[in-house]
Amino acid sequence: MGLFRAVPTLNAEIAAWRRGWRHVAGVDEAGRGPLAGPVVAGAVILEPQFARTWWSQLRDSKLLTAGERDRLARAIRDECAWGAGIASHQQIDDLGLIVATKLAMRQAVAALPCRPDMLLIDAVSLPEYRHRAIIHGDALCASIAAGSIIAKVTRDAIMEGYHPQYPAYGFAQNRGYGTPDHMRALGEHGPCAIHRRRFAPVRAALDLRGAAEMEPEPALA
Amino acid sequence: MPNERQRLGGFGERTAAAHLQAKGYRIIDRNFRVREAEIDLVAIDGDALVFVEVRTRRGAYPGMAALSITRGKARKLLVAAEHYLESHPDAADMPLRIDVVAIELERDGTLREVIHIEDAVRPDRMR
Repeated sequence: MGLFRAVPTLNAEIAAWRRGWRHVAGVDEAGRGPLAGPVVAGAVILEPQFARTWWSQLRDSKLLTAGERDRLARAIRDECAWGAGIASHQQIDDLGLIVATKLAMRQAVAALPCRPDMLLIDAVSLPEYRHRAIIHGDALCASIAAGSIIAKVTRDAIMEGYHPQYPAYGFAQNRGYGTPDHMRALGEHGPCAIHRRRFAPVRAALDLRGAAEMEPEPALA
Repeated sequence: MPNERQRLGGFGERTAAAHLQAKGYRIIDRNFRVREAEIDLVAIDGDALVFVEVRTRRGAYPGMAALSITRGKARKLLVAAEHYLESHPDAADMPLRIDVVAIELERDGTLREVIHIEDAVRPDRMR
């Protein structure tokens, strides 16, 4: 992508509405890269009869400030049909990251108040729904951007919630990402209960502590 | 001394890497191996992380090399991709894709065609 980031549009949604599919859900995920905590997906339906001016402010969650993101998340939750899905650190260890991400997406769609007529998803797809995969969807498609916002704020809240339980790792700030502070704490204290055991830096910290009782790696489904 | 099959595979991988680099891809890893699974090339295309399976076939029917991905092979690619993400969490937040690059050779070993299929293998199609 060039210097100028594209602003998300409703083009994909409008094409679907024209075909009579009113309930078009944008789906996106947050938190594949962190060393700890869940991967979270968000699904949002923007309905044409409830169009709002704030829809024009929807952006990929990574491009928004925390304040803008929270404000948009509140608007989405108040005025749209939305759902969130969570695949835990345990499910990531059991299923693998890609499969766990799809599980979270499936749950987010299932958590919507109605079954969508169509899904708009960034790259991956869920075969049991009619869908259109849009590469760079979080940057190009308003519903997917809305899904990314729900995913991000939900995951951030979960990680902040873990902070009092595991204060050593700074989850409230790093959200489980492998920041220098987090890596230092991982080396000092070893992994905690919500670290993803399959991820190399976590495994390295375990090995360092001579944890010979590590369970065998679960086979991929 | 590498055998004929390994020499062919090595040639195919170098050709595929050169083809992708000419398209602006950055090759960041080659022959990433975990137990039973392997990824021939790992590349960055814009902001996407691309796992590349290289298929090299000599004297095959034109186009066949690209079609020779079985469900079992697709599953192994997914396993290898999972392991790659686990060992490189920094890359796990990028959009992911599995591409196939087919290197088709004439029966005498000269290069006939390089076919690059983007997003050729989707995890959901194999489950």
